Amino acid sequence: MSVFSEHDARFEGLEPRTGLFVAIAALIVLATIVGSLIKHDAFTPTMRVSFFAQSAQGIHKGMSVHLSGFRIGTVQELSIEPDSRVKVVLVLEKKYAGLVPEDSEVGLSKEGLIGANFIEIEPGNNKTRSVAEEGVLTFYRDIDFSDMAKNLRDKIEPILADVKQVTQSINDPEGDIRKTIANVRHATALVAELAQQVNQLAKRSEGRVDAIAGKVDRVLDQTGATLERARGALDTAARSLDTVDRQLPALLLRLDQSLKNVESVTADARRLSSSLGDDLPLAIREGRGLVEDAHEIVDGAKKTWPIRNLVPTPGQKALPLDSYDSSGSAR
Amino acid sequence: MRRALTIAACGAAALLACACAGTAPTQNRTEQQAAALNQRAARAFEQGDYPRAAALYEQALRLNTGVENTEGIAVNALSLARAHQAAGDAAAAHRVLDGLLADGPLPLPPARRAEARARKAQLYLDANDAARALDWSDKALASCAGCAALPAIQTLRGRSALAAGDHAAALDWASRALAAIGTNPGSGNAGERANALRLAGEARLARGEHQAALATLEQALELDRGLGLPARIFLDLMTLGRIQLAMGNRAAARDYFSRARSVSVAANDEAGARAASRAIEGF
Repeated sequence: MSVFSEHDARFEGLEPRTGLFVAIAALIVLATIVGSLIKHDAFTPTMRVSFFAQSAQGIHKGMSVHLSGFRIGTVQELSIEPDSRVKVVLVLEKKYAGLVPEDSEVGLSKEGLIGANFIEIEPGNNKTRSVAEEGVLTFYRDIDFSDMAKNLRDKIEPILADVKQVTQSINDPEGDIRKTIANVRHATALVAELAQQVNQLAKRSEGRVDAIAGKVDRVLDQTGATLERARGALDTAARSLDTVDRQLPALLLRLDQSLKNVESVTADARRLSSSLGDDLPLAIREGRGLVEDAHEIVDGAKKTWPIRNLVPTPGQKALPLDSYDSSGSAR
Repeated sequence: MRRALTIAACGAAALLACACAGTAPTQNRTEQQAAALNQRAARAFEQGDYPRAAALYEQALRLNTGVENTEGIAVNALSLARAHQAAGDAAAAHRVLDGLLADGPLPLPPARRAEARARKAQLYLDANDAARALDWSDKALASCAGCAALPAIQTLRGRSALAAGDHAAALDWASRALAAIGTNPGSGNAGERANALRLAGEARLARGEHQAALATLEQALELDRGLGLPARIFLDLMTLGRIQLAMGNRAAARDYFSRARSVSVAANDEAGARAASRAIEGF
């Protein structure tokens, strides 16, 4: 008879259970590995492109590569070339390759002012040709914070130098500003002195103005007297005008009579001239004939002997030539 | 006896009839008008109304041109040029003379050509252009072979030489003019004699022969006073003043200049009065 039973009911089915446990554990490990691979894009189709930079500053392995704000790849490798340039190899997801033209540029950007660096792809203009496997993109370096600080320092430095110079000039006792201030101070003192003198002058003038006011009063008195005399003259003129007003109708009456007389004389003259109108032209014509006859008779007489010897024949003579004739002088 | 008287009376009557029947030299109507205009122009010129004189001479010239009266054209053109010269319009005077001297269909008598050229010389003398004055006075002399204006042209040639600074030539031409007047009294006249004497005096003054110049100018003054020509008396007095000044007789010079001023003022010669005043102010 045996002490222990060779068959324990607790161990029944132990072997299959252990196998199941190992299998489940193996599956979990496998799932973890697969998940990790999936997470690290081990199964995502990718392509390699590269670019060359002058420095690897700010670039590191595993760095994100963005296109229009989306992460499309990572920095896979950095290496230095024989010509000291840095070759950066990027791994991009193939599905985004069509969005990256071959003339695209690569730049180093920063998430915010002090955020992490990442590679930003600026798509090029040639949309028809996408970047190929092992293609090379152009690199440009954006101005980062340190560059901006350097630029700012370069601009501020001369301003600070000027401010320093101005401050020195202000502090310099022989400088223009100090001298100007001294001059202003001196001028202010002079103005005060001048004000005092003006004050004294005003006091002296006060007395003289009083004297002038007295004279003006006298002149005004005289003016008043003159105006009185003028008023008298105006009264006289007014009286004269009254006289003229009274006598004017009589004068106008006389003038009217005179005009009537003139009209009557004119009418007489018109009558006389109309009565002579027929006779006068004839008389003139006859008179002209008589004059012409007399002219002919005189001409004839002039041409007869001995009168023609007594009357000089009118001839044309030149002004005699005188050797001292000159402008503005007659003989 | 009675018969002889009858014959004599008949002869006298016949002679008288012949005389009455004879016709005087006549002018056509246009020439008469031109002559009247010419005489009116001469009167205007004598009165110092040069613009009116020029206008009348121009009318007379037009009438003579219309009837192709060569002598009338020459006479009135020469007078018109002189009127323009006296009025101070030298350009107009040159135009008239150039027109007269231009070769045209009507021949210009040589004596008139000489006068026209002499007038050109005078215009250039007025303009202080001694070189051209010499040239034109030489041309005038070339045209004047024994013409009546020879003494005047010779004196003018002497004035041109004096203006050019050739004092010896000026004195020589003055002597020739005096000789021409002396040998041919009919062509000369007292006025030209005075002019020649004045020229000789001016030439002697320029040569520094003051006494001789003084004597010559006094003769000229005497002649001009006799002729009653204020413009010439003024010239004589001014030259005498300059001679006295050159001799250092300032008071005598001042007297002459004062007399010259009085003469020019009386003759309404404003330019002369100004010249005399300037000479007096120079003391």
